[in-house]
Amino acid sequence: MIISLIVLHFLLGAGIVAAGDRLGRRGFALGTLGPAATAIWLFSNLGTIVNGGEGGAIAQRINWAPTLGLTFDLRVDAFAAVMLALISVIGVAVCVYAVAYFGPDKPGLGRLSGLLVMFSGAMTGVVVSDHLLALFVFWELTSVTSYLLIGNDDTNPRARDAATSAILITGAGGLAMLAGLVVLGQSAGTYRFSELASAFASTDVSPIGFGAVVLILLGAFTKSAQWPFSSWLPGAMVAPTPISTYLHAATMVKAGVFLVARLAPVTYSVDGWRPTVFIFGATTMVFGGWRALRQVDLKVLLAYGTVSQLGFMMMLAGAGTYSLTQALVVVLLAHGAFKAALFMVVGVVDHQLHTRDIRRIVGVDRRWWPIYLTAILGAASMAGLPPLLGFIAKEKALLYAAKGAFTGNSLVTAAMVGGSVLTFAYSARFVIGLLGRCAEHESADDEHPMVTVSEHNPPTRLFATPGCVLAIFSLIAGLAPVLVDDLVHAATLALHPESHPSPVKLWAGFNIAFWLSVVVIASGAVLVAARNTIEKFQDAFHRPISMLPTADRSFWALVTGALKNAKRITRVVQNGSLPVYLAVILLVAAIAPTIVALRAITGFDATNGPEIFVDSWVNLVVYAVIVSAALAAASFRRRIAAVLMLGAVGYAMAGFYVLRGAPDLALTQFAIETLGTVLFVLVMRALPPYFRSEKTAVATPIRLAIAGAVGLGVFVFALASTGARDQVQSESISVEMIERSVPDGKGSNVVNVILVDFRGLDTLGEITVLVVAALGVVALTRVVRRGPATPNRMPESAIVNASTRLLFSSILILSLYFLFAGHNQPGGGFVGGLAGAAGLSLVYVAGGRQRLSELLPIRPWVVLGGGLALAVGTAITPVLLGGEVLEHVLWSFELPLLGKVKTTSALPFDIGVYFVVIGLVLMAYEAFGDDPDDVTERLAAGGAS
Amino acid sequence: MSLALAAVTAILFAAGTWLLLQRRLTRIIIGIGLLGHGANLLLVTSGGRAGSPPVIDGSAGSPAEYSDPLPQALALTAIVITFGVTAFLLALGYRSWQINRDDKVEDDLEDRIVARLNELDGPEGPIDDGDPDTNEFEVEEDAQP
Repeated sequence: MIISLIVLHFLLGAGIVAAGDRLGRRGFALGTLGPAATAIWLFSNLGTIVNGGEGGAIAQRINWAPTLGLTFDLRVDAFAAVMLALISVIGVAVCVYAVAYFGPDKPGLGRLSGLLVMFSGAMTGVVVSDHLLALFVFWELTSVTSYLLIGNDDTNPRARDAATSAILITGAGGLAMLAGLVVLGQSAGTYRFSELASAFASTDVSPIGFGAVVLILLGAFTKSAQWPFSSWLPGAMVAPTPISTYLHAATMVKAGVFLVARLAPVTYSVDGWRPTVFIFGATTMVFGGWRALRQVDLKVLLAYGTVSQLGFMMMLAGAGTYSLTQALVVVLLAHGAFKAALFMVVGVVDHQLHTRDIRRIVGVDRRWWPIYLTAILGAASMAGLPPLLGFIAKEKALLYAAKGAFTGNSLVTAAMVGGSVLTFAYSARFVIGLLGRCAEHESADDEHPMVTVSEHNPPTRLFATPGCVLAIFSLIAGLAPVLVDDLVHAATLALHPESHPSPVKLWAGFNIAFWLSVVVIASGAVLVAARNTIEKFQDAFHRPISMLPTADRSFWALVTGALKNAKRITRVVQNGSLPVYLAVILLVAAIAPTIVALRAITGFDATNGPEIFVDSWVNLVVYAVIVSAALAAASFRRRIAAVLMLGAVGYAMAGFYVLRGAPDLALTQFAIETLGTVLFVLVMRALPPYFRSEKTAVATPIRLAIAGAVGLGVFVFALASTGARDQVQSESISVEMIERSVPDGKGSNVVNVILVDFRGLDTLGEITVLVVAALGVVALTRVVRRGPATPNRMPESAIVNASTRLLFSSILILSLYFLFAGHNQPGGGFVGGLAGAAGLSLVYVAGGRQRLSELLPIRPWVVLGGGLALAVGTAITPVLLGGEVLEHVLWSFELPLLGKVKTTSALPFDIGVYFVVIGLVLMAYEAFGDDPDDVTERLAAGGAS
Repeated sequence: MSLALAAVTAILFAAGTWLLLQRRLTRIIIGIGLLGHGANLLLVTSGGRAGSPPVIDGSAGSPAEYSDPLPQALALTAIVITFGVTAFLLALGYRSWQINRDDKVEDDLEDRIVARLNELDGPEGPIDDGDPDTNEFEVEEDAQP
């Protein structure tokens, strides 16, 4: 059921994207269905999840590759339920809000709303994943959708930069995290979150190691915008406000905190975990608050506020104690509600007043009361004022941080107090600015006029309601925390099963947290009262250090530097000369393995007798032919002679294969060489007869040296590989193949059984490559549209005609023999097909393309495609019958005249191969078979391109 | 593997490399053919000593007396694929003849152009015009009369 929710999101999102601007902002209305479905599912199951204890979690497993231990585990426990509640409820609220926010005909809205729904699905996936790798997949999906959502307005360079920055930072962090998660999963022996605790219950967690912890935290820190990776989050505010509300305030940025909270109960005792989390969390909380206090743009102010709050949450999540986890759960709920509400206020202000600059907002208007109510309740909750939920959250956090039994708890408490003071101050700044008390009339100019609120329309009811509802929730849940207590309790137990968290209360007595709250509120009030002085101090403080590299500037320096250097390197290595490219590649290929191979040559001892120099004297004859023909092919300047020398090498190779005991190879090589020579000649007849001397970018001595180096490298490599073979202790896989060939493969020609059975999928891939090559051949050469085959201009020879008739049928029968006998004797589909194609070549040589098409009225591509289809069909038929790919059975049946025939289902597969090979050769004649003079005429006549 | 066989393989590779570094497509194709032969030699000889053909007819006693069938199967595949590649390259040469009347491999013009491009092109960093007044509705405001 859980997976269907995620799939629903993606299908719905894809549908909306596809509908595009035909839907416009109605896409958001339609998109509500996604998060609404999650909400309905969640709330109808919430009783089970919250009250069911450990067995209450709803889990689902989808087997993906079970033999590799890869499963797709989803699990909703109470902690996931908290996140799901945020994702679904705020998702619905944001979609409703967005309908009012966007104008009816803004382009790109369909895409925006579809992507938002997909993001919601990905985020749902992140929080319900019970498998480390499943989490990673959804994690990256949120990064990608976030990138697309930020950059949706692709004509705006600011949006593009922000999107780039976001995906580079979170993407790099995500990759680091993947490595860390793999280390974690391997050392735990399980990749499931729900089994991590029991996996480390009896053993030490130290094998995870600080390195893996750093990698995982890199992922969490970049996603949750911890300093110094926080610069992308304020940048992401270029996205439309509904998007910022959902992704960059309420849900996605909490993914890092969520992951840390999931892992901390296990990993907190790894050396370095807590200090790392505390130091970065504390820095982020104070730094974010400080930056927020300086902002004049309401939205950016909130963004830095989010950074600060994320630092706060990171400390709570990373401590790994149940009491701070409980505080975290309350903070998650409170922050989700108030931050979304406040962002919605900013969106309303932006929409109605066309500015978000607090220096330009003047006055108040009574008709705006729902907005003021939302802003004041939200900001009060953010500042931690009673009786709002944010107050309870902060009280819990301060209480248990101060009483926490871990090293550095006093520093953590101090950071939280400091951060909270700043939070109070920027919350107040938000409200004061909204109420028009930060107006600076002297800063106004024509381009930036002052904006009087009463001159603008108040927002519509639909526009104001979603934020208002969320703000009022902050109030109600604060007044009656019993509403959320069960959920908070269960979520804490989900992460710390043995713990006994105390209930969430609004009034917890005169404890240390109360006095700390008094300090926070009092100091905050002082900051607010002295805000002009503070502002001057901040300016004075930042002016001298503004030249120092900030995290943002360092990031961009890194990116632009990388691009510049990439261009510089490209200019050198990608200079356009093919020989230079090849020279570099070949030299590396020659030198790199040689270094290793030189050390691997062992047991090569001249006392082993003459065999070490030459295996047998018959072979030496073959070697002599190969070498002399190869050198001739390399040096001849007459085109056709060089080609024929290549053919000579091939025939000699066939002889070598015979001597090696490889009859199949010999047959194949022989047939291929014949066909290949014919094809070469067909093309060469059009080209100039001699290679002209040519100038290349690489001088001849250098080319000779490279060739020599490659030869030398191969020589060393060949000797080393022989030694390597002798060193292998285990039995060769080939022995098993020989033994199983008859009983399992039902054939006694082991090579053929390997091709059609043991490694049948490889062969399937191979003939697919052949088909593609054949299509490429025809596509390249038949650019000039052709009519029917032109009559052969060559004078017909009676002798050739007669012998062709005679030979063609014999060759065809031979090829069929190879095909059918191939499973038990040398032969098979490749050899048979090549032999048959050789017969067809004979027909072509005698009568040209015309004679060929008379003989075979089927078009070449039909032969080619039919062969491939037959092979694929044979491969997958067993799957349809419940077996495995390419599972073969033995058939025996009676045929008239021939008697009892035994064959296997590998035969149709081999027939498919046979036809693909024939098709390929027919395609080649189709491509090159016309007289070059005819082609030239046709090119000249027009169709040339 | 004997020294002689290693030397043959080396010569095939050296000749193939030499041809690969030429300007004429035909010579490059011949070079690829030679390299293919060399690679097949390496493959087949990696199966150890020569033996009787791997066709089980009861003539050989133990599996060890057969030639290793697996490298043979791989080499067979390689031979046929090389044929497909050769056919494709020949088609390239044929096309080159249709257009240029020759099979010379020209320099990659696109690469040359890229190499000549000003290296300072491209993103210089985020847009920072120092104007904090960002709002999402300026366009619409301008659109209204």
